Amino acid sequence: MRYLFRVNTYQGIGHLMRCRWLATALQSQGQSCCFFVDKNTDLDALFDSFPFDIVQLEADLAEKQDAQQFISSAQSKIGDLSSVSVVVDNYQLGAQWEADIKKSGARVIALDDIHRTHSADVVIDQRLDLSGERNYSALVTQETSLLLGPDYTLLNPVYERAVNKGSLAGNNVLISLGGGGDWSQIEGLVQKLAEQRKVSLTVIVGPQAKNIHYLHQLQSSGLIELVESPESLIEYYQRCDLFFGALGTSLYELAATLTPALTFALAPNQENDWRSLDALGHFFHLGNLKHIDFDDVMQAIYALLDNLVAVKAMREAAPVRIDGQGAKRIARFLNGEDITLKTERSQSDECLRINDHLSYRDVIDQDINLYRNARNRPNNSEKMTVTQDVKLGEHIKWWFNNQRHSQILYYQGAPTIVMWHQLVRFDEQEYLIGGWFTTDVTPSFDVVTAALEWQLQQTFKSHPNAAWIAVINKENKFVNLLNQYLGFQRSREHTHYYLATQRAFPKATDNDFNFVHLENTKMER
Amino acid sequence: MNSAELKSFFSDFLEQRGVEVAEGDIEQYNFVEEGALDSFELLSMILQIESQFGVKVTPSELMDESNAQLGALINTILAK
Repeated sequence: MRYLFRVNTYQGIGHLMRCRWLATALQSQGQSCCFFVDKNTDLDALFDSFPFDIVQLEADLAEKQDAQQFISSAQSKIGDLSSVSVVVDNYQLGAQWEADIKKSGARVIALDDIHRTHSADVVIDQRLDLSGERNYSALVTQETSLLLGPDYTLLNPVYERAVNKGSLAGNNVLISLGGGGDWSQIEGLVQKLAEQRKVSLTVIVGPQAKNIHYLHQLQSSGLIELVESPESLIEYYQRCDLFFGALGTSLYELAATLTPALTFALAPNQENDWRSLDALGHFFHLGNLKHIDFDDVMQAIYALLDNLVAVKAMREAAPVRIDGQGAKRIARFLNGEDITLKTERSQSDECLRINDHLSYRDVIDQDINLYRNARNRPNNSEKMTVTQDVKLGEHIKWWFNNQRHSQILYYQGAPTIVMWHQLVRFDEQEYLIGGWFTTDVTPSFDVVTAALEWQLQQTFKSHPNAAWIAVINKENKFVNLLNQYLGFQRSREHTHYYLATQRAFPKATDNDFNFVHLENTKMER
Repeated sequence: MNSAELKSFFSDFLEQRGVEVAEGDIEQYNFVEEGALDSFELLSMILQIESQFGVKVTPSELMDESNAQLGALINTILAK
């Protein structure tokens, strides 16, 4: 069987590379492969060293014209197309192109990662979708075979065995924007980082990188190690302590090598829902580069480097693993072999029972995003003493240093309420402070009440001599009434409760907040 | 405390919140399904029952489906 690849070379070099790894796997199974790419002089050096035949086509044709161009070129190269498979990785070529190619008798295999409509025989999308928003069933025909999820990640075979080891100094930051990228977008940040003696910077630029002149200057000054168009990033992933860069193919390479990483998105296919990233052990994603605050990024980088042991443990505990065998798996499927997946990926949330509907577990490091996302939900944050969103960098720094005891309450099996408490001491008196906020599930008031009653009982059991002190936004009518129901009383000015509350919540003024307390003996319910 | 007093209490409570229920329909009124009372009002209801009749109704009792109609809730309160 012959495999012909139609790859767009203007959409990031990652597309060409992932097809290369699929072709390598197919070739090792005795198949022959040939690439049809867009003419792109920036990639001439790469094309010259490419281990497969390359035919260069006119770029930017309409789908219909591109299909005609491809068929004509392929027929003149190999003749009849009825026994070939055509692999297409090109956002500009969709269902129409695939249908035209199928008419020539070829089998069509489409690679996608932005959830498009297809008429291909096989559609492969390596992205993990825990949100359920990327269901392909309405976008393909009933006959289409779907290979979806990270088991089908196309990586260089070296990723089957490579693991991050880090550097001796524990301060090496590897920066990459993939094969291309406009480096002027992060110039300020790279300049700032390069000037810090706390970190050593290795910067990797690809063959399509733009605006890299300042990187050459930094290299000449001895402030960074600059690597241009390396064959593979694997050795750099292995010896860095933290990757910082665009989340393209790197997502899977980083997951396969268990490399600590802080990333951002440059393109739509680099946007991911946080639950799917968490499942891959990729907890630190800043979102679109346009909205990133560089000072916060600096804070994030330092906080991650300061907590590498915990960060690596979070990666290693990921429920979804990238084993680097995706290309082999797809090649076996395309050649008609059985590829039944053996991997079980269940992350068990081991909870303790509170009542028939409620259960709980202690927060672990892997809850870092669940915690921040819940805290930043407007219905929670607008009633807090600090109403602004907590940024990722400040959150990471806080997360690894906070003294809170936090728990997640599950209502009917779904994480619903995040609760926390902390013991504080003022003038030799113990006080309990705490808070709660909801996840994207909105619990009814009986659930919230049961959860808070449980928290009060538990904390008084652990700290019988402590009194609860709290501040409640005066506009939050429900929570004021709820605390009254639970037995909280107004703290009068000048009492030790009032003074302790001022010290515990320095940003809360009694213009906006009610100061309340609850003694252990007053908890009747 | 008797059934008539409780019916009168609920009728007044609902009326004060703009919910008109005919006297003969009060026992069939399903306050959970109707959704006319938010969390704040439901909790207010609990606190008022406690202060007026000296009976504690828990939030989970209030939200229990079997107490969703006021007639059933009245029976639960009377049984305490």
